[in-house]
Amino acid sequence: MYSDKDDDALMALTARGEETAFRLLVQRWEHQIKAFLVHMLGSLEEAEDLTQDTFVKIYGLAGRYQAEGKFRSWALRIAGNMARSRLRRRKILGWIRFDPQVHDTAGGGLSPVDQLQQQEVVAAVNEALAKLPDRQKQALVLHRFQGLKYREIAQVMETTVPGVESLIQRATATLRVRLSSEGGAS
Amino acid sequence: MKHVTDRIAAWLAGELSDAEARQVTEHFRDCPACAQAAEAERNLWKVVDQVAELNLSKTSVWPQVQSRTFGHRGAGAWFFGNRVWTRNALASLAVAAGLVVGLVLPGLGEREYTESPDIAVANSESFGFGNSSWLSTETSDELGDIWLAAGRDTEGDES
Repeated sequence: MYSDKDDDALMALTARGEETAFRLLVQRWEHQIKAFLVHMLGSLEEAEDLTQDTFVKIYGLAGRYQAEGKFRSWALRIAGNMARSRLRRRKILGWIRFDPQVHDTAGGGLSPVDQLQQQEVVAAVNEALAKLPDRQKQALVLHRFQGLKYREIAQVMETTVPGVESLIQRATATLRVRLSSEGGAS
Repeated sequence: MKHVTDRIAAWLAGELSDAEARQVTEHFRDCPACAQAAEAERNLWKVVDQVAELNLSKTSVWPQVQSRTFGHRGAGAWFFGNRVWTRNALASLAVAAGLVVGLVLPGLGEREYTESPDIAVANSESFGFGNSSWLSTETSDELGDIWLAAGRDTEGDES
């Protein structure tokens, strides 16, 4: 019924209690939100829970949403804040998660030796990513895995474009050092 | 010469303006160190991008979101809740409870039938008879005979 409507229109309908409109929004964006959260948290289980939480929060804030064509940035900001909050809690508990099942390393027609090598690379990269400061990781994940431009990342993270550039540059430098020391990158 | 290592990430991502990108490219011609750093970063992204592909299930979170927003709850959600970790925790708890019931309860049953109250009384040394084996009885009816027998024995010793 509302499948031709853009995100702003669906949010306006959601604010008026239209369940179908909100369902369309969820189905349109849940995969991207979940993928972002998996990269941030390293856990599919937690990412699924936080994906639910993100949309519940979006629903609660529907009345305050400003229709400026920036639903994706807004939704990723909510998801990112929740992820960073979860990561802060984990650090207090001294706990870093990595779920190897979630990465698609079994396909591509690779030989068993190459598959094993790829799995080791994936493990090394994820370990290095998990140890990045949260804001650097968020900027890197949004840019590299979600394909966002610096301007949109700045909106999501409520910072400036030079600020995003600095976060990504520092994250890159840290990754390069960590992966080089583990032999993960040339 | 001012190096451009802090702009390499943005240059590789195509985030610089045309003028800025041209400056960086020209700098690479005069600075092998920065050119090498750019090449290293390009290789780093090839490695990092290997974790970009995720093997996510196609299951939608809509049923859980729906129950938490518009209030429709499926039969399972009433008992198990909506969160993945809640369901998993409840399942683990159910298995643990089953193990406890299966291991502990049979042990409790054996103790209940070890002694009847009658045997417990007959075996007690609180009557002061000393030789408890003489007191092994099955029923309390025989206790009366024991009292009488004990009384007769005592009288005999004193004489």
